[in-house]
Amino acid sequence: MDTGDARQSGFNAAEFRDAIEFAMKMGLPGTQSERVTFQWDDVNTYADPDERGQPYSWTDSPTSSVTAADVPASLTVPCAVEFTARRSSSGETIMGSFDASAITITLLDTQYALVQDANLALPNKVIVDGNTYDIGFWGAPVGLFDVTVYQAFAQARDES
Amino acid sequence: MTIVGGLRVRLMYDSLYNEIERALTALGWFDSGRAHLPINFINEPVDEKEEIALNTLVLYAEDGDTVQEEMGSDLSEHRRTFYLDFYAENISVGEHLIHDCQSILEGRMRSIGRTSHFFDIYDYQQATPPVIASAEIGEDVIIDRAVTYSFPWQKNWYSCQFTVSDYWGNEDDDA
Repeated sequence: MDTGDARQSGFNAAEFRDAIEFAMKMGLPGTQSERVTFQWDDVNTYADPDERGQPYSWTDSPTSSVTAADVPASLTVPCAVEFTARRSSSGETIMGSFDASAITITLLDTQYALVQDANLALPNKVIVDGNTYDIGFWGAPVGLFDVTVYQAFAQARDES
Repeated sequence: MTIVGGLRVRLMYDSLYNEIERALTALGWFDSGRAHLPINFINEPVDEKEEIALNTLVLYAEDGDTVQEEMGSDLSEHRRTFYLDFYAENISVGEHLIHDCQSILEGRMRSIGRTSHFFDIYDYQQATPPVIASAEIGEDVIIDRAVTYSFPWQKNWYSCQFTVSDYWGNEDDDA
């Protein structure tokens, strides 16, 4: 974003992205399966759905279906991961009243664009080292002149 | 000889489980190719702190008591509180299945042969299990849904509470 302020010229967005992406790559685990992998669930559309998009008759076949075969079944991009361990007792967390481990994933706009899919929108879950985390929500984007930073807050479905 | 005590309760428990499973099967809940995850029906409590697969339906019993039925005989009403917990994949599946269970228990599904709130107790010790009695499901079949939860699999957690009454007296009574 052009602020119209001459001081902005001191900020080089390309160099910033390159440096941050380098740091993110530096933090990637060496084994592919241990990295954050974004995934999409299938999205089915039914002829006569309820208000939540589900069929009244469970034997109905979807009239259209967007499956993982239509989009990248899974995607790994450089990102930063902050892990928050499960609390010892139940309590309120940033995600609500949960008692499960959580991760915060930080992406630059360039990676966010790769993760954002035209058909299924944003992924609904990530796999990290075999554990599934449901993405609860995406936080408010943070700007740094021409660069936008996105954060996804995800909660563990299970922990191995 | 009348079957009483713990064996009677176990047979009643298994008969109840089988009756619910039979009814849900007749409704197609266990069929493949449906627009929901498979239904997993088990008859023992689960550890809520361990991950529970979505669409797991759990039958389990809690408190029980005995009420003397009549003076001059040993006939008693043996009551037990049961729960059907359902960890649904979404609200639509949860509402649908748990209220099917309610109607099954209340005997309001003539299309699948559930026309009363009684169910038969079978003696599964026999190769061809005979019916040894009928148990009664109390008229209050209560549906509850968790509005707060601690674990992801409890997000669409439905519970159906009901009471089963079985009547028996003494081993010496005629079955």
